[in-house]
Amino acid sequence: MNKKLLFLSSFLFLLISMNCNSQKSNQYIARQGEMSFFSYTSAENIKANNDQVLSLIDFSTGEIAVSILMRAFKFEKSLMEEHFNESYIESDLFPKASFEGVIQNLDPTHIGTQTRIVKGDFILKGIKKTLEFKIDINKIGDVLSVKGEVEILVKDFNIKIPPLLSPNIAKSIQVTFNFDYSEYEN
Amino acid sequence: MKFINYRNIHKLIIVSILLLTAIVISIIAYKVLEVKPDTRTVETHKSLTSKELFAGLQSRSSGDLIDYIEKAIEVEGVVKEINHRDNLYTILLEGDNYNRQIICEMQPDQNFEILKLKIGDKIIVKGILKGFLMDAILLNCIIAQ
Repeated sequence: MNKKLLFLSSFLFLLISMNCNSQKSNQYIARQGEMSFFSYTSAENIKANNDQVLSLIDFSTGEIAVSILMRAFKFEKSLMEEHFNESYIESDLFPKASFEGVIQNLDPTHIGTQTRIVKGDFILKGIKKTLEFKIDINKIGDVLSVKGEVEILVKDFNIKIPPLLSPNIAKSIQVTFNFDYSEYEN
Repeated sequence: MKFINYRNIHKLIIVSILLLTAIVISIIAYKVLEVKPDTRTVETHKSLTSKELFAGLQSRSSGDLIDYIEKAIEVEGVVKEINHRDNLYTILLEGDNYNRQIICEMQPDQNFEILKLKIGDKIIVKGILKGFLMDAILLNCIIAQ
């Protein structure tokens, strides 16, 4: 009987401490976030998808971090992919892009969808730009998702496009993303 | 005069044929370059286990692994998770610890093979190494064994 009691009390203590820890961290991870970009011109429309974007979010502070492997973008045509990695982004030199920011006025207790502004630094090709854009945050229980879109200007990131191809690539690129998070246990 | 004209026409025909051949070859070359190769037909540059892959990163011989980016590698590991989205499967192989895994985005023609898999199976996947975030990322993967 004593042994049983000891076991039960130990188990309860373990459960309580686990619960306390998870409440303290409130961190979520998306290992396979979706990100797409679109370039619309009268000459050609270009679309690329990356389904392996990494993102971490601290729901108590509103801090969000995103890391994007540039070579994981998939294009309809492999020649486009080659141009993107070798000529425009120089993926050998700059394999990742990243974003670190804070969600403004995030309500961690809100159940359902809340639209908020996120402000932070986006780094592409080693060039840092501050971005501010709208995101939709949906949280029901432990299920958390964030989606939104942002506009990136080609000229801001030293992306050199040959004059011959410049009519085919838009000056402003639309980036959309959708991240499904799960609880992060580190 | 008639003879000269005939020679000119002859030349014109030859030039036209050559031009047409060049255009056809260019179109074929362009189309061939457009098509992404099947991973089955791509040479395997390295074979290793999931643990060896992350051990390589830790010992900062990751330079060696970076040499394999955009090349086909084979990785042996244990299936941790299978995800399906937009008709595309992704297999997550166990890495060195909870936080680092191997993400293998499968070729669409692998869907039938994936249905036979279950969590905990030991498999070998072959895919194009794209790089590393928290996890190693391989695209266009096939089940090699």
